[in-house]
Amino acid sequence: MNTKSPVSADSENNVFRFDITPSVLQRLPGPHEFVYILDYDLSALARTGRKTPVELIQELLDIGQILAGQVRLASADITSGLPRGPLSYVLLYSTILSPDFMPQATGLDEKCIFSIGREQIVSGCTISYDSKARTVSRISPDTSVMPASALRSSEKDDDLDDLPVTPDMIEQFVVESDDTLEQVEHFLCSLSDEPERAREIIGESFRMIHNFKGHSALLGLKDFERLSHRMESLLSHFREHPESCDRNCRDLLLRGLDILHESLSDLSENGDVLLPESLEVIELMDEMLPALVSGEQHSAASSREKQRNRKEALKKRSVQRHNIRVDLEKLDHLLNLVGELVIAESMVTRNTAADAGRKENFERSAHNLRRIIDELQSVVMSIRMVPLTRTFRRLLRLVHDLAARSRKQARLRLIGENTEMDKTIIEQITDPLVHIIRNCVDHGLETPEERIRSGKPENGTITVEARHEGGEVVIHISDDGKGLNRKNILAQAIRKGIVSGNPENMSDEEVFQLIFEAGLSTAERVTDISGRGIGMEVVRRNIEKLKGRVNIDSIPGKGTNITLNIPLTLAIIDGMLIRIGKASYTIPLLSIRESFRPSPGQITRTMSGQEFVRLRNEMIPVIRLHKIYNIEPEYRELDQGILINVTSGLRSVCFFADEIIGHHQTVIKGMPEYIGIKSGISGCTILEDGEVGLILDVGHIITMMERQGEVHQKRTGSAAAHPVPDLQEV
Amino acid sequence: MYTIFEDASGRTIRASGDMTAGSAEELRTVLLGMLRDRVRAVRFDLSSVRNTDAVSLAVLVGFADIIQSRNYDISLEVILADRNITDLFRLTGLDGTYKISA
Repeated sequence: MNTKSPVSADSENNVFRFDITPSVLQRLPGPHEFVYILDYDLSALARTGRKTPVELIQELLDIGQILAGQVRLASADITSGLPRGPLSYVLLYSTILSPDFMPQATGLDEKCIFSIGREQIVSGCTISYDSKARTVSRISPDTSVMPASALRSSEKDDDLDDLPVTPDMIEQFVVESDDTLEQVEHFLCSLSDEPERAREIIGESFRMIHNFKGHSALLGLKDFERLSHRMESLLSHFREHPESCDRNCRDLLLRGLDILHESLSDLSENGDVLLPESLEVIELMDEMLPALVSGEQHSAASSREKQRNRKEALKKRSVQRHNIRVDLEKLDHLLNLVGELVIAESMVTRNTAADAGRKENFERSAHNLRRIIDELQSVVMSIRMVPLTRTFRRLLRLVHDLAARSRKQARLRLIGENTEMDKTIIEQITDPLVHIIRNCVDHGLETPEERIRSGKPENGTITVEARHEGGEVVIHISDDGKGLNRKNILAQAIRKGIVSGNPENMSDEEVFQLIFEAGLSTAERVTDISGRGIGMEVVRRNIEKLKGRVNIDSIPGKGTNITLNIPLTLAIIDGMLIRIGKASYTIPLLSIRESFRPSPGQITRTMSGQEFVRLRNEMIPVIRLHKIYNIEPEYRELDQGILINVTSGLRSVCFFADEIIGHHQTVIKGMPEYIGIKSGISGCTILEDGEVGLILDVGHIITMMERQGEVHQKRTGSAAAHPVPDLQEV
Repeated sequence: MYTIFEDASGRTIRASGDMTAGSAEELRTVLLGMLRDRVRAVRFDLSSVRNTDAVSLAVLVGFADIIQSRNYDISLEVILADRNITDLFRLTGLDGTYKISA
């Protein structure tokens, strides 16, 4: 096929012009982020590199694409003899290699490599290169192009000086970079767990750091750019040689990430930041890189691999969504307004005064309004909800660092990272999670030697799992370590005066709950990681502040499980409105299993007075809500009122109420402080008649009654599986 | 190194091996002979060429320059070249002067 090359050369002026035609663009592969002008002297290359033009072209094709090229003789007259002098070969070249690697990959001096922004390669324009002045420009529209050496230089670029950097740009950079750096951190920490994906993971990290560097340069953040540039160089090498990315290399990269990450907040406050602490890391990276790079060769196979990785990365990038940042206060306000709208809609459409004059049109309009409000609610709710991914991924780094410090081997399994929670709540559960994980690594997991002696794998496993359950998020943290030592906890609790009397009668669960008491630590020694008896108290305090619950189970030698139940406050949820006397309460619909009026034969009572209802071979404890809230009920006999079977986790009870008013959607509003967290109320709402209604916290009520001895039930989900003693028929 | 065939459609230059500095002078002489004889069509049979060095390439470039700058009415065609050699012509822009045929 004879294809005319879209290039021309102006001999007199030493100018090469590359006309960017559609055929040039067709040859520009998607994954190639870098486009260059390369200026070779083929005669010199033959002398110094013993390389023929054919060999050079094949080598270049191994690691990139020649979009267009032009060869020109300095002295073109061959009539008087063989040509002497330079044989220039100037080409427009695309590749995935960054400017740092181009001299090495192409055998050219930096001065002969000119980097062009890929976005400048558009159909119809002309890239012009003056080989004498060594300058590149773009015609129509004209845009100057930086030599690759300028990109390598830490000197400030003149063009960038002119770019106005606004606080908004800085803030956007901080937000985006925060995500980027966290992602890279996650990738680096997961390398040891997924060695088979090392090339892909490092490739993705490289791309992200490369973007970070580009944005830093755009904002004139030279220290950021300098450090990320070194990191990019290391990652670029590891992408080709993932086997050489050992723990030391990863730690060094993580140190670099830490410096960048920690400086983001300073940048947000001051608009600029210097990183003096980065010098040491840069020096270490500079020492590490030459040793790694020496002997590096680019093969055709690796080039194809790189292209494949790039394609995958680009594919992923193509599904990214566009985001805008919104003040959280505005979102809160929007959520409250939607809540009010929901209530107002109910008040209007269910207004009995309107019944008499109701017409078909009204019903249809009301139905339509309901549909739109439902959708609005759903969208507004989803705005505040963010996945736990970022919080969870921070734990990966934490486990990585803690394991290294305590000379243990630990891996973290994350399940349900995409579980969404209210952003405000996520911010508040980070500390508790960190404290729990520190304890897991420092005190829960054994050393590799101890684990081998116990017949366990050397590598300890910590699992963090999140899921929605009823109206709450359940986060389950477990380890396969040595478990809690009941005797030790009790001894400590007695010594500190936390427990008195006859503690041997305490159940395991009660004993284990003691670790959440201030100052109590089961650690044999205080380390720089944990052991002062403060962390777990912080866990309980923070979770209680969120009106959540913490439960703990442990089996000696097998491990410990901690469960955090965190309510979705500020959420609009479906609820069942019940009446007890003159009071109305809302039970989250997701907690309700069923409701029924029992027959007298279903009801039994223990010697201690605890009532149970038999429901399909299960004996379920009954809780009389009127007793808890001190209300005069309409009915006192269970077979006259209604029982609502509710569950929390594996626990199941029946609430006794006078009647069920009906299903409604309601906005949970926070409770005033004076009501406290021990009332079994998770929030309140405004009812259709304008009255305030209380929302019941099912789990908390059950716990409350268990502690008071009103309900005896083991958390197996079935009371029948653990027969209740002394039952007598009523 | 270079053998020349002539038929009604023009002349064919066949290279018997790689085009190197050692045979570059012969190539130059052959090409200038084409101009002197005012040949209208020249075919380059490169079926035996696997590599070309910078000196031979420079001769081809110089020949193309002469044709273009002096407006010679001559067609140049490369035939039976392998992939590496067609890449060389295509990616150096020489395919603008030397038409590449299968």
